[in-house]
Order: sequence, then C-alpha cells, then structure tokens
Amino acid sequence: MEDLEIIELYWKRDESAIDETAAKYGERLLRMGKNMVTPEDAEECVNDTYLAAWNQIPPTRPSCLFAWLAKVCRNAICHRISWMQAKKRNAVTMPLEEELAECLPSSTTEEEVDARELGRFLSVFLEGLPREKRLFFMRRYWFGDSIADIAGRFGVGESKVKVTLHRTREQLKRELEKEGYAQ
Amino acid sequence: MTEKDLMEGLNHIEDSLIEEAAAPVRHRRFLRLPAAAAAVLVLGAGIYAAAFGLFPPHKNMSSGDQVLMKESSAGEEADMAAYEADQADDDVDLIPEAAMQEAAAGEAAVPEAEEWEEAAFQEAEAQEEAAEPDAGDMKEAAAPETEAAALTGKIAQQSAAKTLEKDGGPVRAGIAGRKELGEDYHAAADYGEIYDLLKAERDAREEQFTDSIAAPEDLAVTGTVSTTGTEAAAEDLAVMGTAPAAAAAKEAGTGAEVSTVTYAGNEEAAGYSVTNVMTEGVDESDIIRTDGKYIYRVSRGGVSMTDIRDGKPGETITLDIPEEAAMDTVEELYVDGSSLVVLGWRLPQQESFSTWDDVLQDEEADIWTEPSYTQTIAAVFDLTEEGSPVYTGFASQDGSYYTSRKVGDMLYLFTRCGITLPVLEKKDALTEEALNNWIPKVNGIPVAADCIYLTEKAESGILVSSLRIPSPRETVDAKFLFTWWAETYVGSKAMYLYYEKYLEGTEFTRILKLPYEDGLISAGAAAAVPGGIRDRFAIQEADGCLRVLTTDWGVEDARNRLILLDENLKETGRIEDIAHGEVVYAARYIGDLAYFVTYRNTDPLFAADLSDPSNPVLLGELEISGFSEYLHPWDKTHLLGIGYETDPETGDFRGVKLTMFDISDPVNILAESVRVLEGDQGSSAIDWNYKAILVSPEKNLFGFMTWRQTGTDMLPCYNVFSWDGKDGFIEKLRNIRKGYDELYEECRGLYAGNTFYVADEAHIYAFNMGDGGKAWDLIPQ
Repeated sequence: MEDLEIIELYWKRDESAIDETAAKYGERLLRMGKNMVTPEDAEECVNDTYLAAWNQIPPTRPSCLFAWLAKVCRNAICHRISWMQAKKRNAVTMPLEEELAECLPSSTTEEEVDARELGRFLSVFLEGLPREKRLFFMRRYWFGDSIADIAGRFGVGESKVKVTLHRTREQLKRELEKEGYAQ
Repeated sequence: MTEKDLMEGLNHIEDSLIEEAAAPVRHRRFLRLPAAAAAVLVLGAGIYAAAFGLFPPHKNMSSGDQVLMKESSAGEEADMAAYEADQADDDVDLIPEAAMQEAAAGEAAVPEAEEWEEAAFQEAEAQEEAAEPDAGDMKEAAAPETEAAALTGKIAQQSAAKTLEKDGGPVRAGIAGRKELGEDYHAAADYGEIYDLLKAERDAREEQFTDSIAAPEDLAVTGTVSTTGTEAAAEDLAVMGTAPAAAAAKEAGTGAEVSTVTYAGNEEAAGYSVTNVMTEGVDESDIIRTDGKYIYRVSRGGVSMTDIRDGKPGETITLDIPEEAAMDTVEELYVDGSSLVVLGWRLPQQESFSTWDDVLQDEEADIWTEPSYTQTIAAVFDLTEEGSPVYTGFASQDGSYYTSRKVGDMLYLFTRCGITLPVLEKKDALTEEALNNWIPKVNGIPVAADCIYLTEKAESGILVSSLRIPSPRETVDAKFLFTWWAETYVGSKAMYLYYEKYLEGTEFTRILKLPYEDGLISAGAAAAVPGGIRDRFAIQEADGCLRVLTTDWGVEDARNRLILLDENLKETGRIEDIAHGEVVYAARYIGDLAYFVTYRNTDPLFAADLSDPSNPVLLGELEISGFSEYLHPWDKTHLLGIGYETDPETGDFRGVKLTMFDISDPVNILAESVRVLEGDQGSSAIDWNYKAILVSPEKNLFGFMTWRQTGTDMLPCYNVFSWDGKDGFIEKLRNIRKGYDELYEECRGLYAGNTFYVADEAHIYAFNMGDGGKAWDLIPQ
C-alpha cells in the first residue's frame, strides 16, 4: 500500500493503518532497533512507534512516512538507552555513543544543547559531505548498523568503513568546535 | 554537550538524509562523473539511469594481474589503455568504444568454450561413473551432494587441467560442478543468463523508481522476496517445521563419553602459541601471529616483524611488499613457519594510498569519488631464511576482503563483490573483453559462468576461490554466489554460508553448503531453519552432518532449538523449546555433546546428547548467576566459560566472570571454579572475537583483554590466568596500561618459549613466564 493511503487510514481512524504500517515498515524499524538495543527493547520501541503514529496522525501528515516513523522509533530507542543506562543495565549492543563521544569538542560547553538546533547543524554538515561518507555516517549513527553490515551493504572492506567513519568523526569534531559548541 | 546530545541532535536532521540512507544501494561501483558530463547524462538518460544502470568498466587490473594468461591480458591491456584515454578526456566512465570494437572479435569464443568445458565435465563424470567404487565411495554416492564432493581431486582436476591446456579458447576461473545448490540456487548456463537476470533486476528497479521516486526502500538488506522466492521459502519452512520433536529424556549419564577438542598442533608442540580457531585443522588469519622466532603484526596498514629469538622483543622491520602486490591496507595474515601470507585490499592504482596514515591525514581527498573496484590481494613470502622473508608471488581477487581459511597449503579466499549489468547490449556484453569488465575475476581471469550460482536476486555476492600458497597465481577453483550478506562457517569438509531472512515476519536462516577438498569447491545442499544463529560456535559440522542452535528473536517468548541436519542438510532431529524466553549466548560442541548457554537474568548451561541424530536429548542443566559469552573445552572433563557476572535480581553487570564447569557427568554439570573480576568490563575478545582469546590447556593458561575501572578511568588490561582443581583460577598477569589506548582493544596474547607477549599494533610487552606459581615479571626492553 502506498504511504499516502496508509496516512489516509490514520486520518480516517481506521485501525488497519497500524497493520499496514507494520507490514510495510515494521521489519525495517525492528532491525534498526535491534542494532542499538536488545531485541526485546527494540520490539517495545517499535510498538511505541505505532502508538505514536496512531496518536499523532492526525493532526500530523508526514511528507515521508518512513522517515517520520524512523525518527519516532529512534527517539524511543534513545530514551530506552538512557533509561537502561540510568538503571545500569547493559542494554546497548552497539558502542555508538562511545564512538560519537570522539566527535565532542575537547572542551565542551555544559549549557543545555538545543537538539533541534543541533539537528539543523548536523543536517548542514552531513549534506556537505561526499555522498558515501554521508551514507556511512548515517548507516552507522542513525540506523546503528554494524561496521560489517555497512561493509556488506556497500561492498567495501571493513577497514575502509572504519577509516571513513574515523575521518568523519574528526571532521565533525572540528566543525562543532568552530560552531561554538566548545567553551 | 554530551554524546547523548549528539544522538538526540541526529533525531532532528532532515528527512531527506534519512530517506537517502535508507534507500537501496547501488553497489560499490560508483560513477565518476565530471559535472558537465553528469549534466548531459542526467538530461539525456534521466536520473534513474545514473542510479541503476550506468556503471564504468572494470579497470582495476594491476600489472601483476596481467602476467599469467595471455588470453586475458590482451583484454586487460586494452581496457587499461582505454581507461587512460578515458582519463585524459575526462569523460564519463562508460565501456570504452575502442575496447569494445577489439572485443567484438572474441564474441563467438564464449559459447564454444563453455560447450567445451561442459563436454570435459561430462567426460570426466563418465569416467568417474565407470570407475570401480570402493566402500567409502558407495556410501557417498548415496547422496547427490556428496557426489559433487567426490569430484574433488579427480574429475574436476582433470577438467581444470584440460581447461588450462585448451589452445586459443578463453580461460576461466573455477571448475564446473553440481548445477543445483538447494532449490533456490543454480549454476548459470552461460553468461547470457547472468546478463538476463541482471537486466530483469535493473528493469524492476527502474519500474519501482518510476512508480515512487521518493519512496525509501531498504528491502535489499533482507531481500525483497519474489513470488517464487516466497513459495520456495515457505516450502523450506514447512519442511523444517515438521521435524520430529525431541523424544523423552535419555537415561541419565549413559553412553555420553566426553571427548575433548584441542587445537594444539605442531606449533604448540614447538613451544609457541597459535591463533584460536573454530575448526581444528582449519587455520584462520589474524592481525598478530608468531612462528616462535618473530612476531608478525598488521601495523599501520602494513606488516611488521619483530625478532623474539632472544626471548624478548628485538629488532622490528617492516615487510617490503612489492609493487605488484601492493595493498592500500593489510587486513590479516597467516604464518606457518615456512610461509607468510599477507591479506589486504587495494583500490585502483591511480587512487591508491601508500599507508593507513595517508588515508587518515588526507583530509580533503575524497576516496569515494572514484570508482571503487576493491581488489583483495594475498601476497606470499617464503620464510625459510630467518629474518629475510622472500616474496614469492601474489593472488588477486575481485571484491573486498571478507574472510579466509587455510588448510595445509591451500588458501580459501572469500571476498564480497557484486556483478553489475554492463552498459551494453547483450551481444556486446558477451564478448571476451566485455566479460573481463563485468564478471568477477580471480587472478585476472573471469569466473566461469557455470561457477556462478544464481538466485532470484542479483544484488551482490560472495566469491570464494582456492589458491595453492606456493603458486598463488594458479587458481584451483572458484565459485560465486549471489547473496546479499552471509556469515561463514568452515568445517573440515565443507564451508557453509548462512544468512537470516524474514518471511511474513518470521525469521529463518538459510544455509548453503559448499563441500571442499584439496581446493575443489562443490555445490552442495541448502536448507532453511527457523530462527537465527546467535553465536559463531552455534553451528558445527561433524562427520559431514551439521548441528545448529537457533533462536527466534521474539520479544517475550524467545525460543531456542537445536537442529541436526544430515549430509544433505535434511533435518534428522531436533530439540524444541529450550530455555523459553531466553537467548543463546554461547555454544560449543564436543564430540556428540552440545553445551550451550542461554541467558535472561541467570545463566543456564545446558548439555545435550547428539549421539542419535534422530533423537537428540537434553541431558542436564546448571543454573548460575551471570552468563558465559565464550566456551572453550579445557580438558576431557572441563569446559571454560568466559563471560559476565550479573545481579540475578536486577541484571546489573558486576564484572567479568570466569567459570570452570565440570562436565565429567553431562547430566550433573557443576561449576567447579568461579572467579569474578569485579569492575572489569568486557572487550571484543569476550563479546565476539574468539581470535583475541588465547587458550592453551597444554601450557595451562588462557588470556584475554578487558577494560578495567581504575579510579575514574577505564583502562585497558590484558589478563592471563591458569587453573587447577585445587586453587581454581590463578592470576598470572594483569597488565594494566597507564592510559586509555584504543589500540589495546585489538591486542593479542602470545607465547614463545618461556616468554609471554602482549602485542598490539604499536607495542609489544614481554613477560617472563617463570616456572612457578608467581605472577609474571615484565622483561625490560
């Protein structure tokens, strides 16, 4: 079923919208979740996503349903990771945050970061990267793919993926410093 | 600002970035499009053509690749010349017209050669049938898959020899064998069939693209199951789902003689450590190895050799790899006392980087804007003269390095690569020179069409070849399979590729069996089993049969099962519903017994008797806190577990846990010794990289790396323990580095003589192992 038709089902408050969403995108969302949290938690996050879709559409009318769902799901995953870490449970199966920590300016501000503003900055940064660098970064830090998965997806060696990600993290760190995220 | 802020910030990026990253991948062969040419292309052919159809010719041939076969080198030279002209013109990367005109003359040779090879195969097959089979052959002849295996060393070798002797005909890599590989795979009849499949795939994509240009599709990872594929998969599931349930429990403790697995070979007998491998007799490459005289390390993109003949690190030299075998990055290596094999990859020469540092420091360079035809290289050195490795030759194989195995002097090389539809009409695409541009090659020679196994999808694939190390330019055999992604397990008789698929939300694992012997690789059977294989050691071959432990990824009702498959991958028996709600964390098969760990908040270690293939039986279970991530047979009555201690109530991690299980009675397994390294956190060694664990029961030691909480710092630490029944685990070494060092994550523990070494890419620390129970001393350098 086309995305527009699924969204229309949500607007009509037709519960089959959730079934159609799950049929079309459930597997992809679940896979993304499993990249970052345990399968059990991933399943919960995906279910939370369906619930959010039901509650937020309408009034929301996503221009791209998958991107919208993926964002909601990823947000749920991030919250789940925070919760698990607060509970000192080792739920995170990928060391994504540790890797991302390399991007942090050496002397960072302790002021609260506006996530939306940072998101806009990251969009500009990513759009300015060569396509392959951007895709590697997105697959790793947005979708949580393993290095091996990325290598397999793009048909390149794992070392190549590691080198490219390393360079991108270094570049992001410099850009964050320039942007004033350092004190 | 914290890493969490970054994670959250990423949640607010533009949708278009998410759509782009979720879209299917056009494989690895990126267009190099100057702006003007790109504009022309976009206007003339439409955006989708750039996305799905137009790929540059294959032009990654090195000079070294052109030395073996005249038949292929002519095409390569033409291709290279055309490419240089192409570069000079700064034009769009299309198949050079000049090369195509030259290629046209060879068009008719393809079917002729294939007919000839088929005739040779049939002739050899007839000879085999006429031969008087012995008792062993009779047994194998009962199964069609083993017929293929029986070709090894006999029929196919004849076919190979004839192939190479054929005058004037095109030379191909690979030896034709069994046509079918399960229900879903078959060998291509000719290159035209491969072309047709790729074209159908491309047309389907175009149609999809046209219908919904903005719709994000990420189905490639799991595969969009076609109607045919769905039916086949459903059949697979149906077959596997009707397996007999496990029978009632066997009488306790009877007949289950515990055997042991030891990987001690000549090397250990000679007094130095070897890489921890999955299958006895099947060597695996690693980043650091020793031959007792030198420590060989993958270091800064190359290889370094450190002299340890004096019982401590001496002079270190960098291996000089000749230009023809030059690599952009070395991945792993083998050393077996007489030879050193260095494995790595390179990009086309015009954009290669000499060292790892060049890549890291070349901030502005965009290594991806050029076509990236990664080529895997295996460079061979003779080690007869101590301290002076002599380069003897190299092998090249299209695709990025995936993994490898070494059995005797035979190297099995696995690379990931795709086959891309050439921008040519079919008749033009089948000319000899054109084939050189789009068919994957081993040692510069295209893989034979009937060694390329097709399925319903043609996204990407795995190319496996066999090469004799003393003469790496001579390809013994090669097989290519279209499969998006697959894990590899290599037993002593067959190699297995397995990958997960989903069908209507149900997860199953497809297994492809490729029997091998003395370099000959056959197409065997295929099967699908429910669930996914969670641990690398959860799959094992025994006497040609296969055992797998699988887990459904279900949330609240995770289910585990143990399935036994015969030589044809037909199920003979299974145990269902093991440890409901838990997940397999570690497994090990020892003789006819399977040991495996499942976990939720506590760690049951199960033992199962597999001696009756039709009636596997759970024998015993031990439940303790925490869980093991890695199991290793220690001796005939003990199993070593390395994992984590957790709070049974909360699941909180407390540290790294060592357990020695007494398995003398599989029905009543005991935890004989337990030691918790409080505050230590795991590493890749414990979590997944078994090659980073050193286990030597003969030397009574095992070692692995952890991250140790020291004050507010998390510092890398290499640990070595010994064990005895009286004192339990005895600490021999706790080598804590003073500062954070990421390199240490990839360190290895090795021993030679009475010295223990902890080596990473940049450092080697040596310790006197002494002769008593004392902790080891650091040897000053």
